[in-house]
Order: sequence, then C-alpha cells, then structure tokens
Amino acid sequence: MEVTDRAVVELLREVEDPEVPVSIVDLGIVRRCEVRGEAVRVQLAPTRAACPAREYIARRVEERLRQALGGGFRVEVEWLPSAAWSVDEVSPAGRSAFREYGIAIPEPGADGRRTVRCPYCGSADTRPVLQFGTAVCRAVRYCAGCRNPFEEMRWNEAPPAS
Amino acid sequence: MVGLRAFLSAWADEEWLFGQLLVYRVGFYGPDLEENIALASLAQDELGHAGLLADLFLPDQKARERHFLGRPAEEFSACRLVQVDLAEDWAAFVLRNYLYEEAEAVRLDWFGRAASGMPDLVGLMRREEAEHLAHWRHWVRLLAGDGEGRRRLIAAAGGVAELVGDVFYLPEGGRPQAFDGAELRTAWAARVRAFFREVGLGPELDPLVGRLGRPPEAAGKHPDFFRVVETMQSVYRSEPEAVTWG
Repeated sequence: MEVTDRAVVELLREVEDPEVPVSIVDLGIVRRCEVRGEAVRVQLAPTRAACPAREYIARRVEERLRQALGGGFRVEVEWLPSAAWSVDEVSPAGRSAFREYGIAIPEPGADGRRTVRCPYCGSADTRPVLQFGTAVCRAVRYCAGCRNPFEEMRWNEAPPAS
Repeated sequence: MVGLRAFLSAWADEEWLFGQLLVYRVGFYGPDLEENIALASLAQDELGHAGLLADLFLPDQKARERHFLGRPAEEFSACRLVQVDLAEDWAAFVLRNYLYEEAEAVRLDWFGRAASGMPDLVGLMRREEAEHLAHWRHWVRLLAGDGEGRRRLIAAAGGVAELVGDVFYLPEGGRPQAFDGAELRTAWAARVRAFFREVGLGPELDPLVGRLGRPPEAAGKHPDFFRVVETMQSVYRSEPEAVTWG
C-alpha cells in the first residue's frame, strides 16, 4: 500500500468513537493527515474541551496506523483545540449512524435556523427539553410526533455577543 | 509574553477548582435531578478547560494529574471566589457561579486580544463558557423573580462579596505586561451591574457590585480552602499510581 495522506484517512475510517458507532472520519474530527517519510502526523479536533475520549481515540489511531503501516512508521497524534468542531462537520454517513443509534444531528436551514428531526419517527416537530444530556456533548429534546424524548448532539455554535 | 506562565497557571487552577466545586455540589443533590445532570456537564467542561490551559505548560497527562491532584493547597494560585464550596446555600452557590462566569467572559475577551501567537483556545472555551454563563444567568433570573429566591440572593450577597476582592489579582512580576486587573474588574462590574438591573436586582446588591469595581487585592488562602483541596485530592492521594496513561 502506498502511504499517502488520503490512504491514512481511509485507514482512520476503521477507528470509531467509543460512545457512538461512527468513525472519527465521519464524525468530522480528523482535521489533517500528513505523511512525511516514515512519519505520520494526525491532527484531530475535539468535539468539546472536556471530551473524555481524547486519550482513547489517540491510542486507537496510533494502534490502527501502526498495525496497517508497520512498526517502521512513527505516528504522532495531535489534538487541536483551535480547530473548531461543529455538528456540521458530521458526514452524511455519520448522520445516518447517529440516527440509527438514536441521536439527532441538527440540520442547518436556508434561513439560518436549525431543524432537529426525531431519530425515531423523522418528525421535525421537536422541541428542546434539557440543555444537558447523558454526555457533555448532548442535549435532550422531545418529539411531539411520536412523543418520545431523544438526544441531540449539542450544536457548538458561537453564541450571540454577550 | 512575559508573565504569561503565571497567568495561565492561575487560570488553570481556577478552572480546575471551579469544576471540582460544581461536581462536589452534585453530592448534595437537588434542587432537582436535571440540575444535577447540568452540574456534572458544566463541571466536566471546566475541568476540560483547565486541562487545555495546563497543556500549554505541562508535558503530558500524568504531569497534569500530579499538578492538580498532587500539589499542596499552598501552591495553588486561585481567587477566593473558587476556594470555598458554598454547597449548602443554593442562592450563594448560584451567585458565586454567576459572578465567576461573568469574570471568565472578561478574561476570555482579554486573552483573545492579548495573546497573539498562542494556540487559539479562546474560540472553543468561549463557546462553552457562553453556555455556562447563560445557565447561571438563568438561575439568577429565576431566583430574582421569586420572593423567597430574591430574599435569599440578597442575603447571600454579603458573604459572596467577601470573596471577590482578589479576582484578577496577579502579583508583581507574575503578570503579563498588558494585563490590567483593575481594568478587567471595571469591565466585570459593568457587566454584572447591567444584568442585575435587567433582572430587577437593584440597590440591594450595589455594595457587591461596588466591590467588583475596585482594583484587585491580594487576599491569601481562605481558611476553608485547605479542607476543600484535601477533599478534592483525597481519592488520588490514596493511590496516585492507580491510573496509567498510554
């Protein structure tokens, strides 16, 4: 296998987030993969500053790349707090994976507002219930369509000027 | 930037302590389940911010662990506002947290302007801290709009006012050249005054707001601080090598 930046990204599709069965590539946190000789540098964006999975994900990235590329490659994983992540970074495949898992990803609308569809019935008639959910990156909503509560990924958008 | 290390270290200490104080309150339960969940997430965010800041001057996760959990209380640099738990008085707890988050907004604004060339933490922290500020403003608004809540907020203000004097204080030789604690406190006071007016908290809290606007002063460690740190560090200290990284 020729080791290119793109090839490394494809290898990282096999590294999943530990909480939701979605690859870190589809989650949108892989910012850059750079191959220089026998060194690979992977830069990742945290979903939130307090993401507890950072060390775990970094180890999984190192293990996957060493497994695929061989022990001769040096792997460096770097988290970039400045690389702002938002729910818009999640790929269509990632959104499907989240929906399958029961977590909604807000969809941007043309008018700047967001639509949050129920992952169970698909209804857009949902409303926020709790700002904080079972994890630091999630909030709780209620679907008026099927009358189920569900979780959404928090938006991580810049707040209005305070 | 000269003095930046001291600034970052103090900031990291305050974020860490504040996060620990929030999660400590969870053990007291209430006022309802949802707030307990919120406190846990808010705390996790603050501890994450402390970690981001610590990463700027510490080499790895183990060093960060020793820094926050293994240092004696005397070595922490943190304002008195985050040295006491206030866990048993919800109104005081809310008021303290609100004031801290308004101060945090001021600090983030300053750091964003002053710290060119530093890793850009401000964007991520500001988004998250804005959520925190909104949360505690919501609580102040709730309490201020209720007769009993308003009475308790006003009653708590005197004690909380005793804790605000050293916010933005950094010793001579240990502060960045562009850091003006008095200027930051003026901005802090203005923000708090405006919000208090908005929620109908008027002259009763003017003495507190007045204290915010005074230049920062060294205050030393609060007598309760040593117990607080001992509680926070007790599990780690019982088995420092229990958690391995990498």
